[in-house]
Amino acid sequence: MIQNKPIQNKPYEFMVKYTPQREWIEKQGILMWLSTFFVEVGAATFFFASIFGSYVIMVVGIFMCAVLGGGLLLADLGRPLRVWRILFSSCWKTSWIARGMWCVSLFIIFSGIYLLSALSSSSIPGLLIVANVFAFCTIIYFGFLLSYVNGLALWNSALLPILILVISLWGGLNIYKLISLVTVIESANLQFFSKIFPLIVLFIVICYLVGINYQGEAGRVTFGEIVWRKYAPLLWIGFVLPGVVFPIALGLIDRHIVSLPNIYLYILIIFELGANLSLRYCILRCAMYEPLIPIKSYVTTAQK
Amino acid sequence: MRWGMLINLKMCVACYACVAKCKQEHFLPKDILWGKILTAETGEFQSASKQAYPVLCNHCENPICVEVCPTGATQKRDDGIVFIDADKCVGCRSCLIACPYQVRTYYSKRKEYFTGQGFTEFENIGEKLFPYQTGTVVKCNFCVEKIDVGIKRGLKPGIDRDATPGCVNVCPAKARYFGDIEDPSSEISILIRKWNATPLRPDYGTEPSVYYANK
Repeated sequence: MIQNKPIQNKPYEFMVKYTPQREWIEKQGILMWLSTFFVEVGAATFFFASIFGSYVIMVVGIFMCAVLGGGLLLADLGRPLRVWRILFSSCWKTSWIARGMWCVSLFIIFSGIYLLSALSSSSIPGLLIVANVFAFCTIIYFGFLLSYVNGLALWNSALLPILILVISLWGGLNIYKLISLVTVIESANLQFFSKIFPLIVLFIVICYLVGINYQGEAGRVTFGEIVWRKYAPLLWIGFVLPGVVFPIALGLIDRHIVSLPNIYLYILIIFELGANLSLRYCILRCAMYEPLIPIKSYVTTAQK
Repeated sequence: MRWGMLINLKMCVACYACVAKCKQEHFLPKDILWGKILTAETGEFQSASKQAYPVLCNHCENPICVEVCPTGATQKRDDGIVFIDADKCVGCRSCLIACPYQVRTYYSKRKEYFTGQGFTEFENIGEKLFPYQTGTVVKCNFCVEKIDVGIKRGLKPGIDRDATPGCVNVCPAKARYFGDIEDPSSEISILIRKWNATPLRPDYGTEPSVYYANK
């Protein structure tokens, strides 16, 4: 039964109407949003840097993942000094956070060893493969972590890990392009990837949202909130406009009308990174729990 | 053995005695409630209807909170009680998000009940008796300390008051029953069968130990 105002707004209506998750997006929880962005995009940056052979950008990727992402994650924890317990417990068997922590740690260790060995001009290619395997795990684990929560229709989707993977790679590519532009030292032909990524992300977002729409009542309500109600600006102005429309428009202008100067590339990258952050925010912000009280059936029973 | 609770919604008058007793029994800090009463009003004047659902930790048979906990702080005992070892909790709040019943609370900061007037003597005693750690997650523990001490004294939880959760003891309408739901001859098991009681949202697959009836 859909209420006229789906999201509860009075304290006594807690869990009677659709209730958004707040722990990982409000107050201290906002750090979780930023932390996952830096961890995943950092790992993706390392991945692209390893493909195009840029040690400088590899270092940037590791820095983003370990220092920015790791630091924000520690700041988000209520008891950060106990973080070692995550690594030294046997909870990796069931907990995606524990698995993710292992993946991030091993990614940092192996990529660090690889870079050190490369600096001493005796790089071991096998290490790079291992580091990239853990980079992949680092990128994707948060998607699995979210999709495991069956109380939230928006997260409980098999497409979410794929979406997280793709937007992380998209972010990593943008960071790679940005550093290439700034340093001028590193360069690679990224035209194809740059043009195709926004379209891939858009396609997966559409599939994901359509899938959510068919995930019961909570899915339909969440879909409505994201696409045309309260959180629609996050999707349309935050993601579609800067992340899809703007890059396509610039691409068409650049190809058919006039060759654009570098400043537009900077703007494009910043817009795409903003869209990436906005989409992640949307995923965390719009997840809603279903009402616990089956209002309709209860009234019927009570009136008998 | 699996401890469980049965709540008769028809008898519940939403007096909040269970909520207050729980708060007093465990010296719960400000803004923390282990037991809650969900209320909703539907309809309009003359045909308006108020609905009340007392909720607490369901102590599920398949607790998703235990699965997602990265440090093993949330554990399930052999008697089905799900508890949090505060010394192990890292404060990631993943259990809080994973729980579809939203009965966990994050204890972020110790607050005064009377803002700006300092902690009362009552609050200070509570802090000594139940030193909750900030930055950790807290939730209902079925008054496990009473159950354990009671069993050692040879008492039967659900029958003897000293071994029974406070919310069950204090209910003025006797809407709550407590006992071993795996023992088919226990009062609670008989009533669950007789009243055709069901847990809250069984579709989540967690097999809660708290049942609701409407008789």
